[in-house]
Amino acid sequence: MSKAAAVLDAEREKLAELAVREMGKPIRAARGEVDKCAAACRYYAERAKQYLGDERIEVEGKEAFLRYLPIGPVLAVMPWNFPYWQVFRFIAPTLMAGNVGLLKHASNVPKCALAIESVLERAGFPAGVFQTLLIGSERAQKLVGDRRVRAVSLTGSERARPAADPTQR
Amino acid sequence: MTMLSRDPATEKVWAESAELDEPALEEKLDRAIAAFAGC
Repeated sequence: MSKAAAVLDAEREKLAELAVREMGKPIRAARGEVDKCAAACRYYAERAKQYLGDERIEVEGKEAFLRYLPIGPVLAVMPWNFPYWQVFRFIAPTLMAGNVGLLKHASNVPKCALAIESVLERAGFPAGVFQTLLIGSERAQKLVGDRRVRAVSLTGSERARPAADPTQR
Repeated sequence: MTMLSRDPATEKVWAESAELDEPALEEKLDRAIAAFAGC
């Protein structure tokens, strides 16, 4: 994850310009967004062990501990307004916790979505640990019920809600 | 599908990728499971 931060730093301008072209964010705001993503990567890289380490708990005279375990593939349904930040604030803790990520990004920022996948690949994450799925909302809804998808993280409007809520289908 | 992009090239990327068929999607899901098993 620290390497992902380094890639973001090195490609700050290129990534910022991509966001400008794709969704119209002002360049200064786009640069700041890339910087924030790099900071988030470093934050979780440095603190994951502290957050996820075993916690000793009291159980009537016996030795016990609480352990956090990964759950598997987590699907993220994310909006376009912060095309990098919305994903990195999800993927940095998700991957550091040992899960893998699937991204259904907003349909108007596919190149930002692919750029994020590329950043993580070049940071050294194994193939399949993070994948962008360029699919529409209807197909994303179907994924929510797929046995291989263990959790969903959704940020969006009421319109996006059905994508993560099986009761809305 | 509604496109809001200001970048004409984006529309091309999306148009090409939107045709991700079911076998390809299945492959990606299986790859995610395999990656998780290998973590």
